[in-house]
Parts: sequence; C-alpha cells; structure tokens
Amino acid sequence: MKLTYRDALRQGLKEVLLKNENTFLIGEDVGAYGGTYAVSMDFWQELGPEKIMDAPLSEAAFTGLAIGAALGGLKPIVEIMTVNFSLLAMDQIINSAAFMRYMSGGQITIPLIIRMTTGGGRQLGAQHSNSYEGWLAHIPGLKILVPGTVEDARYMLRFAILDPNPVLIFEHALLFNMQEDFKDIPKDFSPYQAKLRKSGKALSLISYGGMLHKCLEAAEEMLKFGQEVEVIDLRCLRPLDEKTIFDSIQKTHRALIVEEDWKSGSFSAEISARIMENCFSDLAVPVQRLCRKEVPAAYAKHLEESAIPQTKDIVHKLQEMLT
Amino acid sequence: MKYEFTMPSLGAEMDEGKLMQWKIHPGDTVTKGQVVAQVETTKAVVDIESFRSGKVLELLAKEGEVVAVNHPLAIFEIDEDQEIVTGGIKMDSPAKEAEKNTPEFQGVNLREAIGKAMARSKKEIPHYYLKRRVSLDLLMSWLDKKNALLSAEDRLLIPAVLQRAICLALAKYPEMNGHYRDGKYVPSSDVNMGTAIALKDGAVMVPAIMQSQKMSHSEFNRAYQDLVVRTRQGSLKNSELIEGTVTVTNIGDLGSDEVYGIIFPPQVAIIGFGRIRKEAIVADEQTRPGFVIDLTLSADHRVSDGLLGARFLNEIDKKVNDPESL
Amino acid sequence: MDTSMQMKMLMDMRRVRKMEEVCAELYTKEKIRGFLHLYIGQEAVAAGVINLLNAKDNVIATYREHAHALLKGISSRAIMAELFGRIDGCSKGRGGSMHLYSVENRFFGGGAIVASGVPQSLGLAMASKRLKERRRTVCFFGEGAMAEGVFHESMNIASLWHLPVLFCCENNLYAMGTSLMRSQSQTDLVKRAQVYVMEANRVDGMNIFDVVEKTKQALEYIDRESKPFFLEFQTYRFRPHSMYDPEKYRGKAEVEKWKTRCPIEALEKKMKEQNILSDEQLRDMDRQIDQELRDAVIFADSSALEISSDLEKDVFAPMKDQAYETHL
Repeated sequence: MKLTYRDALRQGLKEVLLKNENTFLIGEDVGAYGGTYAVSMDFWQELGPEKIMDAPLSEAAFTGLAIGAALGGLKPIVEIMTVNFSLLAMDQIINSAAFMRYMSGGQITIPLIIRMTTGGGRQLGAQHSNSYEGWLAHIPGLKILVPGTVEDARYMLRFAILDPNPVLIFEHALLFNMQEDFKDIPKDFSPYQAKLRKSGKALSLISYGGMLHKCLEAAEEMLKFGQEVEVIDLRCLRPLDEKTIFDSIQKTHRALIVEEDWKSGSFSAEISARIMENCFSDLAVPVQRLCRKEVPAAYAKHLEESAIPQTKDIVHKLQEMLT
Repeated sequence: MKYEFTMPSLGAEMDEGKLMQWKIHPGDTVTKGQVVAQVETTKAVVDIESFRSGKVLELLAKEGEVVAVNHPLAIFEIDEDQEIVTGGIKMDSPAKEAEKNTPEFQGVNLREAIGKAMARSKKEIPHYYLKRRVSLDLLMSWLDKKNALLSAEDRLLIPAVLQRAICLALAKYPEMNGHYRDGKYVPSSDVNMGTAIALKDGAVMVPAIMQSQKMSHSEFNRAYQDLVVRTRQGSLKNSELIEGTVTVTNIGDLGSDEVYGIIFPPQVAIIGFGRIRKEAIVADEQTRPGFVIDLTLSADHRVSDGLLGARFLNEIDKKVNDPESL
Repeated sequence: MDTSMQMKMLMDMRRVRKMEEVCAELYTKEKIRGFLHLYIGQEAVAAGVINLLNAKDNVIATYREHAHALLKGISSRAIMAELFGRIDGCSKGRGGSMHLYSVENRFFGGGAIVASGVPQSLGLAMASKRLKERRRTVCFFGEGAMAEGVFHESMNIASLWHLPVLFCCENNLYAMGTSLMRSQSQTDLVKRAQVYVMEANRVDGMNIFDVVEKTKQALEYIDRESKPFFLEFQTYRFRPHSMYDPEKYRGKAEVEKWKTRCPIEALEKKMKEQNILSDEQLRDMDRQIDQELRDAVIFADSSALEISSDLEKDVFAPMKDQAYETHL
C-alpha cells in the first residue's frame, strides 16, 4: 500500500485526536479552511470546534494558551503554520514550555505538541522558507522530531502524545506529496532514535527531513561507482541518537552531514563537533557538511535552488570524499 | 543590646559601596525604615535604611570611605526583641549540599524497581533450591541463659544469631558469597550480609551489614538493629544498598515456614529461614516436642551445585547447634 | 465583611508586609540574591482577591509574587527557603524570587517575562471548563503588561472564546521606571478592557473593602456567565521596583502621599473605630507573625543545597515505562 506524507500526517493526527479525550488541535486555519497543508482536511466538520480550534492570528497567545491548557490537564496539539511564524511564539516556547519544569524544581509537566511546517524550495521568499529546527534543538527542555518518511509521519504522534514533555515536530514542506510504501507499525518503533535507511561501509551520510531523500538518491547514484554509502536518518535532533552515528562512523570512517539550514551555527555543526569529540580516531578524513548557502531565500527559482543542497551537490561531495 | 549596622548589598553586582554622607549622628534615635546614609555604587547614589529602631552609639565608617558589603558601618543600641525574626541566621557558615540519596531508588517506585530486578534475576540466573530442617532447642536454651544476664538493649535476637551462624558458615563456603558479573564469579573476602527488611508501606529493602565477618556477636547484634532502624528512617549509605555479597531473608516473622527467595544479582545465593515452630522430633527412637526452623537456600547453579549447597546448609546447622562457637 | 474576615484580611496583609520587610533585610545581608521585587503597599490586592478563592482555584502571577504565593497556600518556610536557594524551597532552589511555583496549591508562578502568564491563564481556564472542574483561574499582572502584544492577543481570545479568567491588573502607576502616562496612549485601563467586549471594573486597591466587594462581584459574574472579567486595581508600591533601584523616576513627595493611604493602616483604623480591634490583639498578631517568620528564616538558613550532581535532573519529565501500543 502506498501513502503520501500528508495522508500519513492526517491519519496519525486523526487517530490521536480520536483516541485521547483531552487532546485538541489549535492553530490558524486548521478548522474551516481545512489546514493550510490540508493535513486537517474535514476534521472540523467531523470532530467539531472543541477538538479543532481555529485561532486568531496570535501565535504567542495561542501557544501560551496551549501551555496553560497542558498545565491544567489537557493535551494540546498546536499547529503553527510554518516554523517562520514560530518566531512570534518564541518567548512562550522557550521561556515557558522549555524551562518551566526545571524552574519549578521538577513540579511542572507540560505535555505539549507543536507541529510546524519547515523548509523551503517553493519560491515563497525569504520570510517563508527557513528551517529553524536546529535552532530550537539548542534549547534544553524541548524534544525535536524531524520526520522524513511516511512511516514516521504516520506513527510518531502516537509516541509524542505519550511524552509528558514539549515535543516539537517539523514537517518538511516539500514532502507532503511524497508517496511511499507503507506497512503496519514495526514492533520496536520509537521516533526518538536515528535509523539506518541504507547500509554501507564507504561513508556515513547523515541527514533528516527534507534532505533525506536527496541523500538516498545520491547514495543510489554512488552505487554506480561501486560505493556503498550508509544513510542515517536522524529522525530526532533532541535527544540526539549519538550511538547510531558513532557506530556508523566506526564502520565507515567518513562522515558527510547534509542539512537545509544555513551553515554557520547550524545543527550539522553540532553533530560535526560531537563526531570529532567522540570518534576522532575513527575518522580517515575530516567531517564534511553540506548546508544552505548563507543568504535569505530568493524568490527566483534558480537562485533559491542553487542555495539549497541538491542531489547532484550531494553526489559531487560524496565523490570528492570517496576518491 | 549592641547591633552592628553593616554595608547592605543592593544588587547582584555590588561588592562594596562608598559612604557618601551620614544622615545620623551618635546619640540620635533611629527608627526602622529611616534613611541613615547615602551610599554610592557603580550604578547610582542610593539611600540606605536601618532595619532596626534604637540609638546610634558609634559611626565606624567615615564619609568618603569605601566599605565592602556586610562590613560594619555603625553600632546601634537596640531592644533585643527586634532580633527575633532575622537574629537567628548564621552569617559565616556557608550552606552545604544535601546528603546523597540512594541512586536506584530515588524518585522511582520502589516496588517497580524491585519487580524489575527480580524479573531480570529469574531470567538470567539458573536457581536451584534446597531445604533443611534445623533443630533450635540448643540455641534457644543457650539464648535464654545468655539474655537473662544482659540488659534489655543488649539482648540477643534470634534472627541476628541465626544470621551470625550463616555468616560463619559462609567463611567455609565462598561459593555462596560473592559477585557474578560478565560471566565470572568473584568470591568476596567480606561478608556483606544483605538483610531483607520490610518497610511500613509494604515494600522490602535489602541493605547489607557490611563486613559482618569482622563483628563480634554483640557487634553483629547491634549492627543488625541499627540497620533496621536506619532502613525505616531512610538513612542508609549507598554502599549498604549495592555492595551486599549474600542475602538472608527471615520470613518467619511473617508466619511463613519456608521461603525460596529470588537471588539479587550480582549475588549468587539467598538464604531464608522461616517461622520457629514447635514440632515432633524423633531422636533416639523417641518422639518429643522441640523447636525447629526451616533453612532454605536458593543458589546460582553456575557457581555451586546441590551437593555444595547441602553441605553449606549442614554447616549452618552445625553452627546453630553449637551456640558457643558463634 | 464580617469581623472574622476583617481579622483574617488584616492578619494576612500584615504577614505579607512583615515577610517583605524581612526579605529586604535578608537581601541586604546577601542571604537572598538575584532580583527581589517587593509588594509593600499593594497588600490589599493579593489579600482581598486570594482570600475569596478556593484552594483548588488556579492563580498565575508575576515576579512580584511573594504575597500571592504565601496567601495561595505555599508555606513561608518553603518561600523563604526558595529565596535562599535551598532544596526545601518550593521550587527546590531552582527558581528564586521570581519563580515560585506550587502545583499542589495551584500556583503556577511566578514569571520573569512580563505578560507571559496572561495567555497561559486562558489555557488553565479552558482546561477547567473542559474537564468540568469548577475551578476558577485568576491572572495577576501589572499595568505595564498591558502594553505587550501578547496581552492584547490574550484579551481578544478570552472574550471571543468565553474563557472564564479573572484578569487582575495591579496598576501601581509604574512599569519599572516608566509611568503609565508615558507608556500608554489610553490610560483608562477599564476602557482598554471593555474594547474587547469584556466586563471590566475599577477598584481602589488601597481599600480592602472595595477590593473584596468588587472582586466578589467579578467572581459571581464569572461563575454565572463563564466569561472573563477584568479588574483594574489602583494601587502603589511604597518601595522601589526592585532592591537596586535609585527611584529617579518618581518624587519622594508622591511616595509619602501614597503611604498615607496604606491599606493596612486604613483597615486597622476602621476596625479600631468600630471597636473590633484592640492594641492587644495587634500585639498578639505581631507576635504570631514574628514567630512564623523567625521559624521560616531559620528553616531556610539551615536547609541544605540541592546536590550539584543533580544539576541535570528534571529538564525532562520521565516517559512512563509503558508498553507503547502498537495497534489501535
């Protein structure tokens, strides 16, 4: 059976909303409009306005409301239309959601999910095309999920809803129409661990979200040159599954991290640092990174595309590293 | 009483202040809340107030002088009762960190933690079980005589005496006292005897009497009682909870005759004794009533076997029936 | 208010006053560190409002929240130990003066970001409405918070969605060093609330009787209509914004004038006039309060620090070790 990323998100979301009495979805245009990415299409009609709440354009207030609701015993799922708008809610996300448990000496629990669309590549311009999951993965107190496959999009909410902590889920904008084969949930499914999407001995290709598939394409291409590249899907940036990364590098001795965020201070820099700290003697060559060029996103297609790592760029880099 | 008025701290970054101007003179009356001086800090010139009412005896700092925070500026004469609320604080001794709590059980449901450990033990350790009925007549009459001469707090308790017998037997059977880890058994020179102690809420803790082989009879007795008290108070040491080398469980207190315990890894044996009962004993072709107790052993078949276990129990029996040797 | 209630109000206001004075002194002695924002002068607001609430009602407040925390039920021991940064503090020493929390007493902070509690109060009210808990939610904030964008967003949503929050604006005329006149184009705060189609009223925050009467009316409305209510309490802080504030922005004459309207002295005067309060009763009260605070201070001073190796504990709440359901 094939399922799109969008349908997977939709099914996962509906399942969780139906199963948990105290769960509700709140965000802009999630109800009557059907969701800007059609993830919550028809939910409002089927589940009603208490379950599906259309909020005014007030990111800070409805995120704060969700935090208060979590404090009060409900399990809110906030949809912030895109990660770009989360900037308006940053104080609530960081100073409250992330910190309240620690500040209160462990008394407070905030079971909160915030879903956001991330990434660029659709000519939406500088203010609509960014990837801030790496930034937010910097903050202690937040969990950061970055699903890049249909399976993860379908099942990760089942686990996130059981997590008593703030969980931020970043859904990549270019993946919504992606179709993949789909089966029942695997026995040992956990969204908080990295997964090998392709096994190999030549190099560890580390990525997540929107870049994952370009990496898989690139790895496929490298088979023509007789190079088996191991592709690691991080799936979760915080907590970061170091073990999978380090085990892989022990095997391959080479690492390339591919990310859609701007290079300086990106999360790939963090991963690179950790690899250096922990696997230095396993490395045959320095860790490399392929990231977005440090410019705000342009509207013109050719400019936007040239700033974001594409499959051919990844192949090129791999060839450089493997010859 | 004399009261020392000191340079106040007025903010996180303030280490010292410059006394710009006194607003009081020696002999003046001062009321609580009254501004008594102006102090210059890196940020601004601030009024400082007195938190006491009284009479100004002496001004120690001169105008223009820089004084460190909490250092004296003046002496007042005040009524003692004003010191009621804040007078009790210690200014010189810094706060200390809390005592470390036992790591495994901190914040975790005790029962859950025990349950998990037991499940693991049953899965990993090949247990074998033995039982031996031991006659207690000799021991009990010896105890009666001994206790008659002792004060109430020094009285020897049967469980303690029995554990002591087990302790001595372990000296001869090192296969019962040690740690099995990573496929290897290491016998221990110390007998850190884990003792099952029931808590009020029904949970059971198994702290160890450390180095029990070194203790005299009465020392062991005292250590055992102290352990019970401290366990119930929650003030055990880390080592007592994790370095036990063998465990003894007394189920007799609760009315059971036999107990086949689950071994606490990485230990390799758990010895149980049940209720002291009066039963018919056949001796010298005659049946007579006598005190008996069932000694049970659960042991790790990777380290010992039934033959050794039986001999070990036999050794305990011998010791119990030779109380002077304890 | 009957005699016993007036006595309780007086006792609570004096407890708060004394506690804040003790905090001031302990701060100068470096026992309390960081920032310290004292409530002296505003006691009638916290005492009047919180004494009308039930233990199960939610309160969310600001960084000037010692009074609210104490009157909501956190012991003076736990507050003092928190101010001293010790493990027996209500936030285990992790929060300090601005982050007092007690879930047990339904006190959700404490908060150092102005207006951050306002949207959170919406969620608390919504939760209690959905869970049919008959819990009220009261949100305290200063007039300065009304300039924050999120305040506007929250008032709009509260009214739109009928979220039964009691919004208590403690207008003490100064947001740190900036007066209301210099920061708001519309200084009639009741009018500002009414713009959201919300019931609103003005209260003389220095008069405990007015506080009680108007708060009662507001709570009755909320209980009946399940809609929000905004109260502006006109009050004044006698001390600077925080311990290290040279108060260049207001004149001493103004402060002295407001001190003549001290809510504690006003209630004492009224009660004495009606012969329901004697000097001896006042002395007894003082003795009791001194004892309570002495006990709290000694408790705090002898309380231990959290062990440093626990530094990384409680960033996250543990996942319950449940078998994840893999089938629907």
